[in-house]
Amino acid sequence: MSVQPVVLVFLAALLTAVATGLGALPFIFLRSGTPRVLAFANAGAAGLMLGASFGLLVEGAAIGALQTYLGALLGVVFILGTQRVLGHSHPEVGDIRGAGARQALLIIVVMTVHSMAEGVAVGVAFGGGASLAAAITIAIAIHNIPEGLAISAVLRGRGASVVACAGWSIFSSLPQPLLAVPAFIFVEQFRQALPYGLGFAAGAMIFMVLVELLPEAYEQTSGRGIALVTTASLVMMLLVQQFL
Amino acid sequence: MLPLLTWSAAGVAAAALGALLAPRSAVNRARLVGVASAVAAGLMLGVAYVIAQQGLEIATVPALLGAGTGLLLTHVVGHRRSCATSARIGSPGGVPAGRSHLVATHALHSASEGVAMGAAFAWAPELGALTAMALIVHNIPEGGLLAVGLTGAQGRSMAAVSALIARLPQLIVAAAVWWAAVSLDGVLAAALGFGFAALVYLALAELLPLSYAHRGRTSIALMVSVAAGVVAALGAIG
Repeated sequence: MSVQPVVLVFLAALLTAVATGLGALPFIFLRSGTPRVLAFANAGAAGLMLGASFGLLVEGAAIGALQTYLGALLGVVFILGTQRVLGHSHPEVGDIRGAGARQALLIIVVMTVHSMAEGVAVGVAFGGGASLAAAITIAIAIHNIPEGLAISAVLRGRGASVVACAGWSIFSSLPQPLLAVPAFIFVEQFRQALPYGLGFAAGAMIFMVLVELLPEAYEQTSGRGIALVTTASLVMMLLVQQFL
Repeated sequence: MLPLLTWSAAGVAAAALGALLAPRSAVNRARLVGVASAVAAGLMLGVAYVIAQQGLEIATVPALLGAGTGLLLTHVVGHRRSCATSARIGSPGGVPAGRSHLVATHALHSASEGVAMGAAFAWAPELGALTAMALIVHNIPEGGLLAVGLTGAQGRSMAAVSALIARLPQLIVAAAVWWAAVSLDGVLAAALGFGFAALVYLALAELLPLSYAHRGRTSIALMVSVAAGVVAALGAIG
């Protein structure tokens, strides 16, 4: 395997991680984000993620439907296990200021672990071809912006600077470049693992959308508004997949 | 045409069955609504993705126009139906709605689902059958909800008849859309786009919030993920 594709995978995944930092930008002007804005941002991200995940499933099923489906179940189990571990953990408070520092740290840990699955998705997608890789990279990069917005909303409200908000947001997505490369190398070396990998990433992402993004969005605003934004962003992702 | 009519009739019958067998206890009814809505939402999301892919592949612009129209109409009908249902069951602030108004809004709602079924059958019978399954699972608690809205004024057997009447447009519209899609150029892509938007909007605006309200978010996410994954994988190889 030549070095060049590995570098490309790393750079693409690094780009998605850096995009998370863009979520801090609105806080140059705002002290904290409104719940409605965050809800619609989550809804937009949910549509893109669902589109990207179904794209991975369809791609994987064309190679092997059963393997893809087993991979998807593994992805769901991975996120469930992660949630269970985090639910019992007691993270130490770092140097983040404010009374809710522990909660802020917990959300960063949750986001960081979540982003592992996204890193795997980017790496595996590069194993499935250029157009799939481009669609998934764009989807995850856009999805990361509201994630950064969510982290920044928590940190900014507790006195962190905009630069610190952006830094922690990018930090939470660093597993993406770190895991994208081994995932890519793995599926390149073991082509038969590709449908499992595509399914794993899809299962983990769909489950994250349904267990985190959409319920949080529904708590803040009406289901109809969320449905409109999510459907529209799903259409956008379908168009990206169609034309790439 | 025969498979379409058979599956559509099963969907209509499922609504009547839901009205007849709706649990009397509010707790059991909520449990049934939560589980059935989650499974239906998963099936619909998976089916909708495959439907949209096919529509965009056939003709992008008509499919997008169909999706826009479907989204707008389903949004308006969903709003009116929700107002009629809450008014009928006595939610605060609701304007008293008649039985015929409630049945009419349910009928309009089922017509938009009929577009999805007709378009899916016109594209491939396997995709049509998957769409029908999603709608059957959805129709059972729907029939039950309609019965809850009506039983203050009439018995369960009459509620079942009303559920049949309210779901009949699903069958009629499905047959009409199927005929138009196989006979007229350019209709199939638009109908697939419309069907996609109707299914996704329904799953996101009504079914998922209902499920989350009645069951824990993890169990709902699990059910929806499993159902959506099965359908997307089957749709891809079908």
